[in-house]
Formats: sequence, C-alpha cells, structure tokens
Amino acid sequence: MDLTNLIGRELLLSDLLTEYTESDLSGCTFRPAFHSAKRRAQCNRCGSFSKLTEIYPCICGNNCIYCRYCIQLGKVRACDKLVTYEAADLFSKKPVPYLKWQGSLSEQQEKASKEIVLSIKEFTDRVVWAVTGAGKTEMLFKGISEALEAGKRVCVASPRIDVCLELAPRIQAAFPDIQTALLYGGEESVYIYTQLVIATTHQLLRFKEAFDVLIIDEIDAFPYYQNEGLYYASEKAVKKQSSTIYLTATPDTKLQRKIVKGQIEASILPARYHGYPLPVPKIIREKDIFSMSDISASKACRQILMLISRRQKFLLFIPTIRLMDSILPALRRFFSTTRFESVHAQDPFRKEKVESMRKGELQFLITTTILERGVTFKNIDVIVLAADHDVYTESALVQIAGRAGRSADYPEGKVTFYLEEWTRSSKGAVQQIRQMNRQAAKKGLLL
Amino acid sequence: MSRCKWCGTIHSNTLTIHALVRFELQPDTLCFQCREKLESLNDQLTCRGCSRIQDKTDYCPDCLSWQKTYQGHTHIHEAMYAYNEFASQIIEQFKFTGDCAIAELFVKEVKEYFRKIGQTALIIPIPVSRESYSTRGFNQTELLLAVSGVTYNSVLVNRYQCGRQSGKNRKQRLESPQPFEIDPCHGELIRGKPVVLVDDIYTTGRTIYHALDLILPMEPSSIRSFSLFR
Ligand SMILES: [Zn+2]
Ligand SMILES: [Zn+2]
Ligand SMILES: [Zn+2]
Ligand SMILES: [Zn+2]
Repeated sequence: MDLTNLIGRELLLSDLLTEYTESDLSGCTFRPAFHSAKRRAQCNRCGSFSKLTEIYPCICGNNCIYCRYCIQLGKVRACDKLVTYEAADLFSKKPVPYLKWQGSLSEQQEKASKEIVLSIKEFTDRVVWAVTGAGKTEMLFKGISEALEAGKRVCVASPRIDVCLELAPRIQAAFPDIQTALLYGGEESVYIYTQLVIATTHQLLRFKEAFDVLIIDEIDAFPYYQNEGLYYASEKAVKKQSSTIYLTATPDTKLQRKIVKGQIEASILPARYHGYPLPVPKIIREKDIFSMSDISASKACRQILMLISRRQKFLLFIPTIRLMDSILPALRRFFSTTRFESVHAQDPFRKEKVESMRKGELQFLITTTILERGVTFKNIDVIVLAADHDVYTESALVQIAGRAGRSADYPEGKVTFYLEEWTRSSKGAVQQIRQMNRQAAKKGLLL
Repeated sequence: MSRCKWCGTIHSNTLTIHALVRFELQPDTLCFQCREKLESLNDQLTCRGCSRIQDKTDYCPDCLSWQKTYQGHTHIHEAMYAYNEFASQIIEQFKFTGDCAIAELFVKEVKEYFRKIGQTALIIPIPVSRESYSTRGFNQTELLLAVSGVTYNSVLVNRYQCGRQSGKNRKQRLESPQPFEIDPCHGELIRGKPVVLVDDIYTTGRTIYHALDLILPMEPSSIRSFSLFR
C-alpha cells in the first residue's frame, strides 16, 4: 500500500481505517489522542485542554473525553490514536527557477524579500510587519521559489479562509509548474501530497513535522486566546529545523514585545506602496448614536449628510448586527433618497452587495466588522460608530482604518472614529498608525 | 467570568433579573450575543397543543387534525425554543458533529421543566436508530436528560437498523411507518403512571404520535411531551 499521502500528516486512526487496513499502517507511528497534563487532558492534535470530568458516552461503549476545540476536523476521542508516517520528503533539488512572476518590487519590499530569503536559508523565524496596503504577497515569492528549488516543502497558511482563497490563484500563477494543494474547511477535496500547500491554519492541525518553510498571513486575524491554538498548530506542523515567517499588519502586544526585545527578527514595512502615509483616524467624541431618540441632530449624521452631498463614497462600521438592525430603520427614513446597503457575516447577499459597492452603485455600505480586512474599495472614506465598543480590538481598528486611502488616486481617504470614551483599543490603534507613519517618514519612504 | 459554551467568548452574563430573583449566580452557559439568538417560545403566542408560533393560543390546524385521529386524547406538547437558524446550527453540532457538551447548554431549562413535572412521572426519551447510535455513540435526548440529572426510562426502542427523520420532507415524515416498539422489560411501568415523552425537536409531530400509538394502550394516567426546539 502506498503511504505517500501520509508523509507529514498526523491523522486519526479511526479515520484512516476507512481507507487503509491495520496492516497497511504497520510501519506508522501511533500515539494516544490525549495525554494528561496539569490534572487535565490535553488533545494531542490541537493542544487544547479538557477537564478530566468532561466525559461523555462514546462509540467505544465507555465514557470518553473528546476535544471540543478541533471537533470541526473530526472528533478526537480519548480512546482513539493519532497516526504519523515518518518518512523523508520526496522532493529533489532543481537548478531551474520556479518563479514565473515578472513584476517588480518597491525599495522596502525588495529589502524585506531579501530578508525573507535569508531567514528561509538559515532556518530562522521572522515577522514581516507591513502596513495595510504595503503589498505583502509579492515579497514572499523569492523566498518560496528558492525553498522549492532546494527541495523544501512549503506551506502558506492563514487563519482566514477568504485570505487563503485570495492567495491561492496568485501563488499558483507565480509558480505554474508546481502542484499546489489548497486545504480549507469548505468543500473537502481529496488530499494529495504536494510540495506547496496553501491552507487555513486550522488545517495545519492535520500535519506534523511536515514543512521546512511555513508562512502565516494575517496572524492577527483572531483575538489572542484563539491565537494560542494557532501557535500550537504552527509549531507542530513544521520540521525541527525549519523557518516560520509571520505576516501581519497589526501584531498583537505579545509579538510587538518580542520584536522590541529582539527575540524574533522583524522586517518592518511602514509605508504603503504608493508612498502616502496611512490615514490617521479623526476622533469625534459623541454619546453613542444607538441610544439617541433622534439621530438627526448627531454629529455622525451631519457628517454622513455632508459626504452624501459631496458624493464621497464611504463605509460605515457598526459594532454588532443587533445595533445595525436597531438603527437601520432610522437611517432608511433619514437617507431615503440615497442608495445604500447593509451587510453582515450571515448575509446571504453579502457578495452581491460588496460587488455593487465596488462598482460604485452604492453611495455607502453599512457593515459589521466582517469587512475589516481583505476587501478593498477604491476612493472611500471610513466612519466607525461606537469605536469604543468591546468588539473592536486594536488590530481590528487598525485594519478598518486601513480600508481608506488604498489607491494612489485617492490616498488621502478620511477615517473618523465616533466614541464616547477612549478605550485601550482605540488609543492603541491611533498610536500604532501614527508610529508607522513616523517610521516611514524617518526612512524616507513617503512622497 | 466564564466562557460561552457555544462561541468560546469570555463573558460575564450572569445577572439577569430571573437569576437575581432566584439567587442563582451561576454564570450563563451562553454569552449574551448567543443567548439572544435563541428565540424563547414562552413569551410568544403559540399553539396550546404543540407550541407552534402563531397569532393566537388556540389549537393549530395540525393539532386539530391529530385530535380528530386520536379521539379522546388531546395531546399537549411543550417546546422551549424556536427551531431557527441558530438552533439548527446547535443541533447540527450536537448530533452530527458529535459535540456532546452541547447538552450542557440547556441544563437549566431542562431541570426547570422537570422540576415542575414532579418526581412520580415516567420520563421516556425518543430513541434513535441503532446506526445513528453506533456512529454517534450517544442518544442526544438521553444525554440532555442525563446531564440535567433527570432520571429516565428507555421504554421505547427503535426497531430499525438505520434511517432518520432529518433529510425527509414533510410528506415523507408524515407517511413514515411506526419505527418504535416497547421494550418488554419496561412495558409494565407505564400503567397508571403520568408519562412524559422527550425529544430534541418537534417537527410534524409524527414521531411523538408514533410513540403515543404504543404508549396510550398501556393506560398511563396521563401523557404529555417535551422538546427543546419546535
Ligand atoms: Zn483538539
Ligand atoms: Zn471511547
Ligand atoms: Zn457565545
Ligand atoms: Zn399545534
């Protein structure tokens, strides 16, 4: 039986037995699905802890612990085993360059690209801290190419499916001769063993000591407590000697501290590709609009009216769906002659609405945090209502502000945060944006 | 502070008026946002026979038609929450993904319901097919009762190897043949006792009425039914 597909994987025995027999797997290494640690049970697939008392009726006929945290990848039960096949990778060195991408890099991109190549060569880790709109993907190409040519196995991962789906075609186009596997939760395609893998970080849990190079994009996409799982997954998925490259526009405080202390090497790209500074949010102090009986007198409404009269397109961020629902009727009444839409994560017409905003058919789009990253519109302003709400982390606010001024045609897009009280997140976000602009100016990267 | 058992958010959703009145300072199993997505049937106009949402409390057309078939027995089914989009995600995660801990979300509600029912009642969960049982390793309804500390009797057994109601349309559900039988070891328990049938979801009522077909002839003193969702 050919076990090539198992190289670098770590899978559940119960799942494998639907495809392989016990004797097929005789050359594999088995370990229990859980081990006990600190009077709790730790899942060996995802690293999460369960209480020893959390036992439930199980297919084995007993009561077993199972892992709730990685259950979307299939249920890990305490009576199951994790299986790895410890064999060397089958990729050989190639003297020909794999990279077919023809574009050029800006000065700061070129520098970061070289640093990435070096990290990969020397098996060291690196953070690439690049502001929104700096153009991150292109500067990875050189490093990926050299790794592939050296016969290394490479994975590009992101916590967000939409980021993976956006990256995949760009990477495939840059490396047309390399077979790529795209792994994400959605439509489960048949897994094949490939030298280049694009995957959600969740899918990394199905790998063990698989990659020589792991590149993780948008590591800041989730709040910290979910990131613990991400670090576990990435550490498990890489080989003992390997290089992990973290890409982020807004590193969390833990990572920022590591950078400052020099515990991890960093490439910092403080400027956008077009050379204009990041728009710094303007703060307007106002009682939150959702508790007003008459919104028409609010500063926020007056600003919206002003933007409409100037035909300036904009995004209006609202913290939650519930607040969005509560204010929509008033907005519809108030701006009855203006074309606008509202979107949220569960909206079945999300794609269509975003598309019609992009085409310029809408004057503005009201959104929850789902449009905080990834989606880019040309020539827009950004307004955040209740920017002091709990849902907004520092990184979310930096990302939201980063929606404005993306294109060279309208680099001075305006960002306004309405808030009643400063929060740690809102303060941190404004500081972070200012700091990047200062750095960019100091390095002479601004026009 | 505690972690929402559905979405994992850390929250402090404790001090509802109800909780204060009853001196229950246990944190909620759900965070505020998730709790809000559950649509309670208690504070809406629903059919008195099956808890369906409607604009009056009279029997709905379905109940009236069941009543015609079951002369002499006016059945009362109570459900806690509407089977909305969120509820269907919960059920999917619970039954099909196999996330047993979901049962713990509803301990308070289930406990409360059966506290009112009283100790003497015979509580009978609706069984699942043997196939579902062996692939999942549990019967979701039994688990709901067990984690809530409610003692039940598995009087009914499923005659079939496989097959389940979800995935069938309304007509197919209504036409499905009797899937259950009474476990002879427990059958005698029923006579003269108040009986409560328990299921996770009430859809057309077909499942509950199949169970009634078997239990009514055993002459319980009364019979009603309960489900989490409707
Ligand atoms: Zn796990
Ligand atoms: Zn087990
Ligand atoms: Zn929640
Ligand atoms: Zn009814």
